[in-house]
Amino acid sequence: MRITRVQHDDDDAVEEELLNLDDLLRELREKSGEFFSKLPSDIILDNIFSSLPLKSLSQCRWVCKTWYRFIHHPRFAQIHYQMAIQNRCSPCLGLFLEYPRNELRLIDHQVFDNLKTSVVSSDVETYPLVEFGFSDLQIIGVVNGLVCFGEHHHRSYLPRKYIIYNPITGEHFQLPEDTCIFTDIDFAALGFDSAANEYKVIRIRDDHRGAEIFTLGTTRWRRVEDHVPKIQKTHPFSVLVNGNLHWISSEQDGPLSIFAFNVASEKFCEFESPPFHQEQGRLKGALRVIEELLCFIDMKEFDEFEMWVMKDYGVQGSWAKEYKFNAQVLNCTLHNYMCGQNVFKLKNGEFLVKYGPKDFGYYDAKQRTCQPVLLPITTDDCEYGLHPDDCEYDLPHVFLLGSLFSPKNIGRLASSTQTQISDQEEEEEEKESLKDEEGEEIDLQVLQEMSGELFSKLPGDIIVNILCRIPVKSLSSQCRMVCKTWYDLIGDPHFAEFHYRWAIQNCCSPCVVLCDVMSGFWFIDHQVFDNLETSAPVHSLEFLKELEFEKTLQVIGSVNGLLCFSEDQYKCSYPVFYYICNPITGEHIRLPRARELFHVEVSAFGFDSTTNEYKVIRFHYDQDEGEVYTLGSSRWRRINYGVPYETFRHPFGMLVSNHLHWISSGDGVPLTIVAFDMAAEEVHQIEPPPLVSTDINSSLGVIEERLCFFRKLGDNYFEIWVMKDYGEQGYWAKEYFFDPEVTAYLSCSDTYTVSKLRNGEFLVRCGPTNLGYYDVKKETCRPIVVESHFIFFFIFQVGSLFSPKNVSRLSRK
Amino acid sequence: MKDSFNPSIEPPKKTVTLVSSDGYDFEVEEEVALESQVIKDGFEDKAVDDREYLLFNVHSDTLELIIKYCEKHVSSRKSISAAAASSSSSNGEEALKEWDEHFISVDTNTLYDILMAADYLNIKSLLDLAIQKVADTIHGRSPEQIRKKFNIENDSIIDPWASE
Repeated sequence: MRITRVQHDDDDAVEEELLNLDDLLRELREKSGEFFSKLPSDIILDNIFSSLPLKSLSQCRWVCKTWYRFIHHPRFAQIHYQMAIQNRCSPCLGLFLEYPRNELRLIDHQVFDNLKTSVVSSDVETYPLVEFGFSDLQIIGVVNGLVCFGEHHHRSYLPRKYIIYNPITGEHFQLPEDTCIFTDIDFAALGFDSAANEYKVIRIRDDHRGAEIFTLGTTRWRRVEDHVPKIQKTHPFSVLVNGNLHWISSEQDGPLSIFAFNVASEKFCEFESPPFHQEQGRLKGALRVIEELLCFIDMKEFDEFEMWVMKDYGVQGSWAKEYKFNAQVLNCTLHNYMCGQNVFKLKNGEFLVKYGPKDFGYYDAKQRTCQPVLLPITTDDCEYGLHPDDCEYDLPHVFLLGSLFSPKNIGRLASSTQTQISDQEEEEEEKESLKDEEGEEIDLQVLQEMSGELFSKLPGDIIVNILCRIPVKSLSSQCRMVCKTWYDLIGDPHFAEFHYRWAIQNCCSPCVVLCDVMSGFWFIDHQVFDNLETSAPVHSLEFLKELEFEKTLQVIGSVNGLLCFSEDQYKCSYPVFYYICNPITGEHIRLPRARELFHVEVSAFGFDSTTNEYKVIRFHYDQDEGEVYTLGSSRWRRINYGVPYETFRHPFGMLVSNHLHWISSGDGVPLTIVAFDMAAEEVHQIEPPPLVSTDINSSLGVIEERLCFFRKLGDNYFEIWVMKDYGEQGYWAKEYFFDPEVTAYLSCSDTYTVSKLRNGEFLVRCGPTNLGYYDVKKETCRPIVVESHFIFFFIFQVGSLFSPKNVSRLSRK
Repeated sequence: MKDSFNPSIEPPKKTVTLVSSDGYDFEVEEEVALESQVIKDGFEDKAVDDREYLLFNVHSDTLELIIKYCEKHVSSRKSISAAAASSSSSNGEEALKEWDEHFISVDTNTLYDILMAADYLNIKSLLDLAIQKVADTIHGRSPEQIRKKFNIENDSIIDPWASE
């Protein structure tokens, strides 16, 4: 779960940004004199402001307040940056003068746009960085015109300070230093996840012992759970392409390989290296980005560097040899320690390169010539290693495609920009779908502000962790009513997802839904079984009374804490109405009427984990056809698959490995297991365990997410087979033996439901009105008194907060 | 049980220094400090005389509690495994549970400090304990009680259930 927490510096700024860019534009036209008031808005935006060089824009800011607000608008920053990329603007060149100077010199991009060969002092802007209060600075990374500086990892004592700095606007934002977990940091990197519009700083510990990460907009550093691979220390400057940070691996004498870190998922993985001949001990190489493609510079030959480009990112075998560089021109540069991106392809096809410790130039890859650019150097600079003769000293630098993004509000950018694009009417929907696309996002900021002392101080992920431990029933009936923000959070489908996953991971006991012949459906909370209590209070499922056909309801399936009811197939010959409900929250929906009136042989409710879709399936009595309804769609679809005539209706289909399973057996037909593939919507058959003659009494179940075969052999033998490796000819093993006396009632109902609890005991049915805790080893059963009448059947399911009303919205991606 | 050891042949205990955010030094036994996963990671690589940890986020008051917790858990684990080895019956686990229960029964501010320190130092059992404590405080209370306990403003003017 991603938790966004936005920082507020001052409320006025927030107010201002919420203003629509269009409104601002209108205001700008009204207030900016005759000329602008006559120009159409789109011309002002697209043709005038967007193509202005950054330097002029920063002057324009001071024209009037409206212009200032307009130029500082995050949406405008985005438009302007996209324009710069489209027009293939040259980057600014940032020269970084290290400690004790701590100064960034920015050479304006117009110098390179116009291919000027000498830089005059008016092209250079100097930004003293002393105001950050760091002693020894280091460049960590550059993304979208934002530079990340940090305390030098090797020269500072306990480096913990990081700053995101936009030299163009002069804005900077310091990351909180007191939540840093580690102090033995080897290097760090700045990453950007464009899908979620999130910036993250990752710090990697010495000897790849671990890593921590900070998402801009949140309050603290988090540990990265994934294992950190060995990364070559001589090239710690990461390269960001397609939302992945890349480094070269440092296995001693091993083959050269590339590692990627996915900024969104926060996972490391090995990346395909170029297909050149691998040699022992070959570690000479460097990664770069050229025209937004990942490049590998192969420094194999002394007189020539080959440049490999990955044409289709992530596609195997798309590495291609693209350029050849004259190494004499480039020699001392490309493998340098401090340097980051130092090759940039300009609009005219020439490369802007660094070809000496302090020398930059335009390189023509075809002619193999390099035209140097003369930098203005004052006598004062000689002291600090800028002197051209002082070759020992390498000048750290960055190529920076300037932007107006503000490091203070980039965390907020995503939502504010997206809603402005959409029309007023669509706004709501846009927001909704945006949220879905981005995955899980809960805005806990409001929650924290609203929820009193303790919660205002706790980080969002810990609040969610706390709420996950509260039983569903208590969450949905009590906690939800505390205040509006709690109500919204607990009702959030992403929170429901998180809560359910937590329950599964921590082996929470299932809730029980039971059907009493006389009085309908009842519910037992899972806490009873978590605490191993021996008497279970039951709650009536009141909401079922709201459904029509109440008297004839029948459960046909249970997935993720949701129950599916149909009209009772025994009492109603042509069932067409189906309902899905969450017994805990009481929310329920009625599905559209099924297409055809037919005699239903088997019906089931399942979940397709590949697409996150819920489906209700029903098969015709004796024809090879059925109907499928996908939650969220408008109607039932026909499928040309059927299940064998002899398929058992009970127990309802068991969902394992994205397949629903039933037993099929009849006179003269050997027993088989029928499986329905939830994704492909096809019927397969699965090999059952070695059969015996009495298998007519067998049934299927699920224990610990594995398919089980329950076999009753006479009156004194009851065994459970478990499918170890799922597959059509999977491997079955005899796993448990149940004492038939204790478990006599297992087979009384058609549903052989057992559930393994956290302590290793089984929750089983053990009498006409009782449940019990069954200890397989001791063969004893402690009964649980259920306050009900005669029980017809039980259903065990882990409770969830999922709402049948919006699960379908989550799945539509 | 301790009587079975001869103190004279016991090697001198290795210690680690923990420095709180307000500058106090705490000298603790190595195994106590190793309860923290953060300290444990890469502990072996650190030189023996360099085993000093600056805990920027943990105030001395909280650190004292944390050390108390870790010491208790290290010693109880020893006695439990010793009891298991000599197959003598022991209620060590229950006693420890009770001790935990007592330990975490603190006011909300201290609970917050412990929770954040446990998170920072990555002491999983203590973090679980503290989080569970907050969860237990919420669970089983009426909305009004929860509001009161955590000082939460009631902003739901209309009953959300009624609006459905």
